[in-house]
Amino acid sequence: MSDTATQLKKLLADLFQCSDSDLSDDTGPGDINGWDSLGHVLLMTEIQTRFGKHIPVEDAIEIESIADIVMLIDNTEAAH
Amino acid sequence: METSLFLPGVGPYSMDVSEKARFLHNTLDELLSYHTERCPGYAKLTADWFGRRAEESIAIADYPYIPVSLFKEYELRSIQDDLAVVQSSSTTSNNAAKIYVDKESRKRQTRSANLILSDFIGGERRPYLVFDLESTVRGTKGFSARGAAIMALAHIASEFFFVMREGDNGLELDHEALAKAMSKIDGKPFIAYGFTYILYQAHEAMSGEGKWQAHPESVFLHSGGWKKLIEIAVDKPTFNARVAEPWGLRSERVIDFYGMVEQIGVVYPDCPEGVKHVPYWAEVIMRRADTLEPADPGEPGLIQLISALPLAAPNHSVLSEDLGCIVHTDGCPCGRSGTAFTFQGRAPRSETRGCSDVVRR
Amino acid sequence: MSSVVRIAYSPFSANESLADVIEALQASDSGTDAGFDDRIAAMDLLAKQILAPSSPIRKKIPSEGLAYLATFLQQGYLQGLIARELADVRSLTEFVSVEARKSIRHVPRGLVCHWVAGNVPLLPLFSWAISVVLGNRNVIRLSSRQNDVVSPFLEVLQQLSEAGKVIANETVVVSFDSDNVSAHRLMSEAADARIAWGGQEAVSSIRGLPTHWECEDIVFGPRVSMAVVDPAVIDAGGIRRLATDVVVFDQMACSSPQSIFVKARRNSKEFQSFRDRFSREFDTLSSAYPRHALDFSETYQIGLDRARVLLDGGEISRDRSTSWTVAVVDRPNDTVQCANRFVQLIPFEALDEVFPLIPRNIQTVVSLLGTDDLAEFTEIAAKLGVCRFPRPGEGNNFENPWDGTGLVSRLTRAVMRTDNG
Repeated sequence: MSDTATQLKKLLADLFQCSDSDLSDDTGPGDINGWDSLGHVLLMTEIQTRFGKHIPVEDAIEIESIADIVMLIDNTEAAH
Repeated sequence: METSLFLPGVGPYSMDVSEKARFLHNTLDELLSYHTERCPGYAKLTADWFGRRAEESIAIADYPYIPVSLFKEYELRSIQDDLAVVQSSSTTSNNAAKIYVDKESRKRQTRSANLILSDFIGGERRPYLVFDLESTVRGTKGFSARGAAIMALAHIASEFFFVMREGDNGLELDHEALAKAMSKIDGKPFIAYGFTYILYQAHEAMSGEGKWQAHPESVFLHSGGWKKLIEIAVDKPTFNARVAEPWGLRSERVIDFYGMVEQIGVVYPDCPEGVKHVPYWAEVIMRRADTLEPADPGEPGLIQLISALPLAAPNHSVLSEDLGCIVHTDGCPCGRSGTAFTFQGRAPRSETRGCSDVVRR
Repeated sequence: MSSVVRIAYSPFSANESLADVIEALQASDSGTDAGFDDRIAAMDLLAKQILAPSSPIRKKIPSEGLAYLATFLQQGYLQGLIARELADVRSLTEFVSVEARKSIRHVPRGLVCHWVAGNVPLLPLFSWAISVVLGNRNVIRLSSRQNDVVSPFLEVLQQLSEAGKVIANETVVVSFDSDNVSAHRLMSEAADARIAWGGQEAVSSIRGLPTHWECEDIVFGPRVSMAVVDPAVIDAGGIRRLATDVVVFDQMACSSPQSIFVKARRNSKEFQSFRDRFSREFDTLSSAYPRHALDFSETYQIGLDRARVLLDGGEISRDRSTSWTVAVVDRPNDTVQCANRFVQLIPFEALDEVFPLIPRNIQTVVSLLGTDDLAEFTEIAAKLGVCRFPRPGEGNNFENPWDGTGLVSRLTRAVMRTDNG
């Protein structure tokens, strides 16, 4: 598992108060308690803070899984 | 759906009249077939519509529209599964409008709201002061109209602050939460949103408390309607002054946006000239009383709203019970192109005529 | 809320208050008290005036209701409406023998107060005409938002004949705001009879006003109407007259049919043919009787009602705009408003299907059925609340009794006398 994926899952576990062993690469919005629309937006801002990466809203709304987020983080330029 | 909806690099208000007409025309033709094929109720309505006219290329002014009230009474949907529902809160009756949204429509709505609001207040993320409860936007099955409006601004938020709480008589200002929020915000520009009446009540609760000092680029957005405020004789200038005052802001920083739950995602903030602009993926037509012919600029009419966004339900061309007026069709001094209009409130209910009454058994 | 009471028409001095005017009316001695026959004759003259092409009334009051009013006021008609309630119409003038040693006399009730809500302006004139011909004094209250179409008739009557003058001097027209409670109370407490026309809220609040315990109430409240026809019996003329009953007054009268029950199966040739012929007549009449311009709310309602019918599985015949709609439905839809020339056609096979669909506040059922059906239908429907069964063409003719009430019995006092042996 990539470093990004590990860190991301830790972030998710903190944010949504669950165990990171509950999270697989396929887990996505709506699958866990708290990852609703608001939770998703909060997640994007946490990602900006923790990873320094800004995910544009057009990409944010297309996210279906943790794997999608990892790809976005690893492929996106750092936020200014 | 063939036409891709949001064109890269094209601002929401930057298309000229003929370009937009072409763009929308094609999109609407596609939506007509799309919804007719998938929603049997809509198919009945369009069959009646076209039974009356020759079916060549449909000018936008001749495009079918359906009364918004139908969404309170009938299940109209073009997709069967994986749907969330957005419901209007109704102040006057128990009937709530139910608009079905699928994932794709939700994405379009978010994108649309974001593009529009960024055009007005910039795209940079800012602290978001929400004059509502967190529970209003929690959950996965769908939202109320208030929840949808709050989330329309969500992608501009760097942090969320919910500053209302449940009181004995409904929502009330949570002074502690507000103080905490202002401390964290620490002088940075922020955006705030509240349902019009709720925002007003919260600011009444603030009066006499001394002032906060908001960064002058902060902005207060609101929507939801003026009905309750009209009842207590509060007009727009009074409202704007009341909301701006505790923050030391100019009252131009208080911005009303008109939106309907039946057309989520397309919002209509006031521009600095005080009119509302229509993005290129939507249109607004005012219809005269009696004949429903399109009204001329300057003439009030029932507002017909067209939006290219909806895929889960045929709410892409609806006739509302609201009145509005087209101000101009291109070239506002604010720099935005396209139709510009003002909103004038709900059409007054008819006087009782005669002794007839609606039958209620 | 304004507390101003405008005296629109009064035989007394110009500057009196409502209280003064009522008191004067109650105390007034008409001098030459005109008898029943003279009053009927005065109304007949008024009818002729209405019909005269150069009449000041025609100039001031544009309305197809005038034709109905003129017919109503004509001697034969008006006298007939009153006579049908009395064993002997002479009892309005003198004691008349009814049995071996009993005589009866009908005297005026006294002061009759009329409240007219709603937007059918000529309405009060029908009840006023009967009231005044029976010898009563009258106060007619208009809302401050209504046009005064009553005073022009009184002004004409003043000049027409001696009896006309007497009648005009026995009537006062006032207008004040709906929430002017003290004015309402003044009228109500003085009344010997109250007549209220209007919707639910209006008539309920008038009923709630204080009165003296002897006061008679006549309430013409919110009612709906329909029609029942057999295509095998109705001819082209009948269809045209039925369409006229719906179209005239823009369906705003309580006697305007909102739904038409048609004795035929929905998919049958008879039903389709009736529907087509009726729609064509409806279309023709819509041009002949232009409808009032709809406001925004009414316009929206037409579109909404059409859509509701379609989504419920019904069919629509309509014009290209918003002028008229004929909706074919299996059952009447209670949410559809059936106003402004929007009528529901409901096919049925047996009369039993229709009875449960007659609403509680039914008034008129315009009927054209075979003789046996008519007998069966009217017998049962009368007990279900129907007030009248006119044929097509008479649907909107105001008559007595109305809404189940005989106006003569309410607007007079019946006095018995034992005669000398």
